[in-house]
Amino acid sequence: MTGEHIVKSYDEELQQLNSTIIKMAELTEVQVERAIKALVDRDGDLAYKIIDADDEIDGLNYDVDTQAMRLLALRQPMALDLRNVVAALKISADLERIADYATNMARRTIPLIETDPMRPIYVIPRMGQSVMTMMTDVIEAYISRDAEKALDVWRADAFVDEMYVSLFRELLTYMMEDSRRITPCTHVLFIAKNIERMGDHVTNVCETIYFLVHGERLREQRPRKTRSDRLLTNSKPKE
Amino acid sequence: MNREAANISEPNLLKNQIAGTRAQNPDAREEPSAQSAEPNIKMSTKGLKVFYGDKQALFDIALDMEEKSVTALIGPSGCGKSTFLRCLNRMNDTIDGCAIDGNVTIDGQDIYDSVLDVVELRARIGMVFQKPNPFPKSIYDNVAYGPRIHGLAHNQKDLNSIVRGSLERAGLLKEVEDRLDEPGTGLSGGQQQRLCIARAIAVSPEVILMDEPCSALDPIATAHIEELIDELRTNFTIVIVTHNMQQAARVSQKTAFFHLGKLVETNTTEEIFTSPRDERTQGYITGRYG
Repeated sequence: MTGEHIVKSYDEELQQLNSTIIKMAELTEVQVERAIKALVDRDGDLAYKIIDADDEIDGLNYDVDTQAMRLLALRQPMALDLRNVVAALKISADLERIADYATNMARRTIPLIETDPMRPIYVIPRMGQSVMTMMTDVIEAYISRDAEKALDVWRADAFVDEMYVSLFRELLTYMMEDSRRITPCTHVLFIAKNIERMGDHVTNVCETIYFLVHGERLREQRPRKTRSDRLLTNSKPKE
Repeated sequence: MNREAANISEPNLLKNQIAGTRAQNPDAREEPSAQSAEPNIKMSTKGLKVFYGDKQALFDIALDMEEKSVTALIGPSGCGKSTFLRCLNRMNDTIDGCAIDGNVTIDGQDIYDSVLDVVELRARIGMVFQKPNPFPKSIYDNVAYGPRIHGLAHNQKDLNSIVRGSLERAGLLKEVEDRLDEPGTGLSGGQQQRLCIARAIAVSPEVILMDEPCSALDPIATAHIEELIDELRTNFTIVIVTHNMQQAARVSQKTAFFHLGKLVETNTTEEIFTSPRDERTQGYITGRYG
């Protein structure tokens, strides 16, 4: 850990930017957790709470943009400081998208509550739990600037992708069995897609943390066994 | 993250002693919290024009400088910023052929009023120059010079107190306290500049003018001076001329851009460096100038 800046106010500004990101990440984590819970518990009130809370995260995103602009213009940050400021901008954009997906999930949960519970929906809480764990871990990785931890989270997204593909298959089968299931299944599919996209954005944050710590890009390819775009309605998916 | 406020005890002691000659506006002290109050203007110019012989160097400058705040003056060489700075403590009086027209006030009082003692004015409005210029005296005597001339200390103990307090506030005491009788010229560049700042604050000024104070210093010494400026502004009004825009960005709350003797734009430092209103300002700060 490097020492303090000679000019104390510079350190204070960098610290404030750091704190804003952490606050935004923690709020996003809560939104994701609530979104999964609202869906699984079929809780409409909680769904509305999630939708209302999104404004606060948008506000923090704006704060990060303003603080980062100010730091870049007025402090001419170099090296690690520059990477910190740029990382903050990128991470807040990813967090804002994750929070938006949680809100979208909440919006889709509301019509789903009107319909009967469905069989394939058990995968959703498992996907959700994986993403929640990824979020918790990536926040810790950011706070302690731990690139190895970020890498672990980055690799864990493969599991979320696999669950998404298997859910996709199941939903297709379920819809083909009975066309009245198409509407609710489509909602579930979008919800699953939202969770899968959340996972992807968390991996973006991991890559940013890696770059922040090491000053160079992650060169590994993320492990992926199956891809949903290879699924066709009438053919067997490739293994 | 807590910052310690600069030592306030010393200047209050001195201000009480000088209260007779420099009565502060009592109303200014009772202002409500910083967020709701209008900023207090410490110094102000209106319609300020300066001529060197026939050549006009400044054209109708109107600028307000806020109390306990740093105002930076930026602009290309020859734009008139140093000329402007020298108007603020009547240093231009010492230049042959220099003529001034217009209004310069401190706390609403005209500094060119013939009633005013210009020597006393220059104690209220101190100056630090580009090249550190310690007197060929000991460190102690450098700082004690001003208080002695102005009769600010009743006895030796008071004088010691003023000298030590000033050196401490200038961030120099620890480095020199065991050799106060050594010559000021024996210090490094950065230390000499801090000595000059200690010398300026020893006479309890209200305003400190700085003309490119870090041009002759390396980046670390510059950073120490900038941290010092950050601390000093809680007690003093500071006006700094710098041709290093990045320094203006780091150190000031308000920035004024001068160009060919005119004041083109003034705004908060953040606004000037993120979205300047005038094309000339934008051209200068982005390096598209000329």
